[in-house]
This record gives sequence, structure tokens and C-alpha cells, in this order.
Amino acid sequence: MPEPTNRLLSRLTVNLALDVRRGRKGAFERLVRDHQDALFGYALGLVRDPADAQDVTQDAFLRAHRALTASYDEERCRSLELRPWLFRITRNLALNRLRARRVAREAPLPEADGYHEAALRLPSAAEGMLVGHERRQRLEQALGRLDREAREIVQLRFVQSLSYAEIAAVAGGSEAAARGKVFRALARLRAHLTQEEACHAM
Amino acid sequence: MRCEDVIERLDAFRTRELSRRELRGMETHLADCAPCADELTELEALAADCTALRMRCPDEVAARLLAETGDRYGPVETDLGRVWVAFSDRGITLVHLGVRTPAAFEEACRSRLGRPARPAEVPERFAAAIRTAAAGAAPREVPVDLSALSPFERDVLTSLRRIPRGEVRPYAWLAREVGRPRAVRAVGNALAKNPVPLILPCHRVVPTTGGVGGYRFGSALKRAVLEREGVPLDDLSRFGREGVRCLGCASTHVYCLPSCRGIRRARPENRVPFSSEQAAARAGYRPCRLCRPAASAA
Repeated sequence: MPEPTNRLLSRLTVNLALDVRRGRKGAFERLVRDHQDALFGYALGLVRDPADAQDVTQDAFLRAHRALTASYDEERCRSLELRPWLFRITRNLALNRLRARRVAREAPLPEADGYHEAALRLPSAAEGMLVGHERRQRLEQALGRLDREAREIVQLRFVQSLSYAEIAAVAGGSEAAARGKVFRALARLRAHLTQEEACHAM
Repeated sequence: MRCEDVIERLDAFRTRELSRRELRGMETHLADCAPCADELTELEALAADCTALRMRCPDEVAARLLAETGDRYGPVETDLGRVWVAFSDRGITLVHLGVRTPAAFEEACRSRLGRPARPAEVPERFAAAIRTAAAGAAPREVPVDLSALSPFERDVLTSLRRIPRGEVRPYAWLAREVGRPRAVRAVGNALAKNPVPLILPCHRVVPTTGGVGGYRFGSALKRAVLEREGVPLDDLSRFGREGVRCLGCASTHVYCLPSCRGIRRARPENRVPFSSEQAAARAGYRPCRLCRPAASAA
């Protein structure tokens, strides 16, 4: 259940931002460890290339560090919603990279397949509950067939478990708009999943 | 509530991101409507499956980040031997005397600052400040990074700048100066945590009873720095042993701490020893404005 966790997390991490600003022992290291998996997964979903996702993640943390230690004052750090802020920095960098790639006219990366292969999968409690590999593959395929925006929404809401308020802060728009986006993205994901399942059934 | 409205709110219901009234409405509907309840079960299963798509970030990201945001450090050769200095964009972060190897200093950075440090050239203004301070001369002021300390500790350490070169002060004096006259022990602890010795002169705080007192890098080194700064340590030890806490000047009727440059300029035959500030005050003397022997004793 993400919501109470989110609230607890943001209460804990608000102090973390302040700690980084004050140069507290190990604060930045903790910030990185707390958020690196989520930001990397999110970046990978956007840029779909593990090396690029790694660069984006690293760059996002460097920017966050610079902002917290050099640009933001105490008050700003104290009131900062750390998680959506980090996601937003990551998003901007990832979208810049996609734009640069388009300008450079690089061959577009393959859509769904292999997009998860290069990285290690986080062992999670849910894993045990899964029917297993096949079901996850189908989910990945269905996710890969969504357009960029819908894929991003699914990633934020269902993979990274952000609240609607956080999604609004990351992707822009109101909380109500975030709800609408989630609703539509979910409907499409399920349509794809049904198709996949139909294929497998044959 | 109609099924349509319920389906629209199902995901918000899953995470309880609804008003209390809406939550109640949903619960009532879901209790009676099997298709909607099934939808919720499906949605929860899908959400659980999605969390299995979480990724692990490769380890080198954190390693590179910590190296890049960490401090830099290098050796500075001084009159007192090699001094290791760590610094960041904010200024000097750690100074160590008497450490033998870079590895030992890196370890000190890790344990005291909580961040790694990588070797680099020490900027000349930092190196010059360290060399000057080690030689007992007055260094130009350089930025120091005390951000990891508490406000009280920062206050204590920056107040050290008010002790002139060539003089020393008791712990109780410093406690008074920071407006916490009863926190003498806390002042001592704050001094022990000084990350930038020499630059912030914690060596200028000594026990009133004589001797130079403790120092993170050994009393011998503390003595060496004080001697280079021109502190008359032998005289001070004698005063300490004899129970002399203040010296008055018979011609001006001003009393000072024994190391004050004011009283040291007075003729020897005019100097009157006192066992306490109160004794000097009783004798009709007023406290010196330079060394503030009883800044807030009154």
C-alpha cells in the first residue's frame, strides 16, 4: 500500500535533504542508496538503454547534490518533497537525452525486447507471488507496446508506487489529471495484456 | 455509487487516496458488487506484478557519485612536519597532524566526515594558511567547512578566532564568550571535535592550573605550536602552580589574564598577582578590555 509508506518516506527524506545540505556524515550516500534503484528503473523506462540510464541516474544525483549543497537554502531543503523532486530531475535529463538522440538521428532503440536484460532485477517480495518468468515477460511486452507517456505513467504508479500527488509533481499537471492519466494508461495496459494472453492461449 | 464511478476510483481506492466519504461509498459498493470486487482483485494483482519489474541500479553509479561529490585532500609540508588537509568547494574540511600515510588520512576522512576523499593538489591559499599557522604566524583567513557540526560546536570553534596569537585562554573563558558560562565541559568536547586544528586555534585553550592540556595530536605538538606563537609557557606554568589566575597593573588598576599582551607590556615591578578575578575586583581593579578576564562574571 504505497500511500502511507510514501508519507512516511517523505517525512524521513525531508530531513535527509537538509542533512545533505548541512554536510552531515553519510547523508548523501544514504540519499543515493535510498533512491538509486527507483531512479535508474525510471530512467531506463524512458531512455531504454542501460548505459544511457546509468548516465542519467548519475547526472540526476550530481545535480541534486549541487542544488542541495550550493543553490538551495535551509528553508527550501526543509520543505522539499525529495522523492518526486529526484524523479523530476531524472525525467528532465532523460527527456533531454531522448531529444538529443532524435536530433542526432540515431537509429531508434528497439521497443520492448531486451529492455530489462542488461540490468539486474531487484529481488522483491512480489517475486515469490508471481507465477513467474512467463507472466512477467508478458507484462513487459504489454508495457513495451504502450506509448512513451502511458509507459511512464505505469512505471511511476505501478512499478515505483508513487502517489497521485507525486506523479503530478513529477510529470506536471494536477492530481486529478494524474488520476485520469493513470486510468487511461491502465486501461490500455490491460487491453495489451488481454491480447498477449489471447496469443499465448492459442 | 455507480459501477462506472467505482471503476474510475478503483486505483485510488487501492492506495486509499480518497476522501473518507468516497472510501466509505466504495466499500459499500464493493461489498455488494461482485464484478467490481473482482476488478479490484485483478488490479491489486497487476500492481503487485508490476513491482517485480523494479530494477537494481548498477553499483558503479553510487561509487562514482561518492567519489565525485567527496572531498579532495593532499599533504602540506610545514615547520611541524607533514600536515594532511582535506577540502571541498566550501573550504577546508579536515586537518590532521602526525598522520603517516595517505591511507590513514583517507580513513580519517571516512570516519570523521562520512565521505571518501581523493588525492588532489591542495590549493595554494589553503596550503599557505596551514604553513603560516604551523609556523606560529597569523594566517590569512580561509573558509572552513563546519557544516557537519552542531550550532553550539560551530559557535565554540569560530569563537577561537577571538584569541590572539601568543595568548591562551581557559576553557571557562570560552564558555563565557559563547554565552554558556556553565557549559565548560561541553566546550571542551566541542574543541576536541575541531576538524580544522591550526586554522581554528583550539590549541590556544589551556587549563588554568598550568600545563598545556590535551590535544588530539599530542601535548608535545600543542606545546610546539604555542611556543612558535610566542606564548610564555614557562611563566604560565609557574603562575598555574602558584595559584595565580590574574595579573593586575598597579599603575592602571586593570587586571588581565596572565598571557594577555596588555599586562605583558607592563613593567614587571607593577604587576600584582591575584588568585581570582573576584580578588582583583575586590582590590579595586577593573577587567581588561583586551582579554576580558571576567566578561560575564558580574
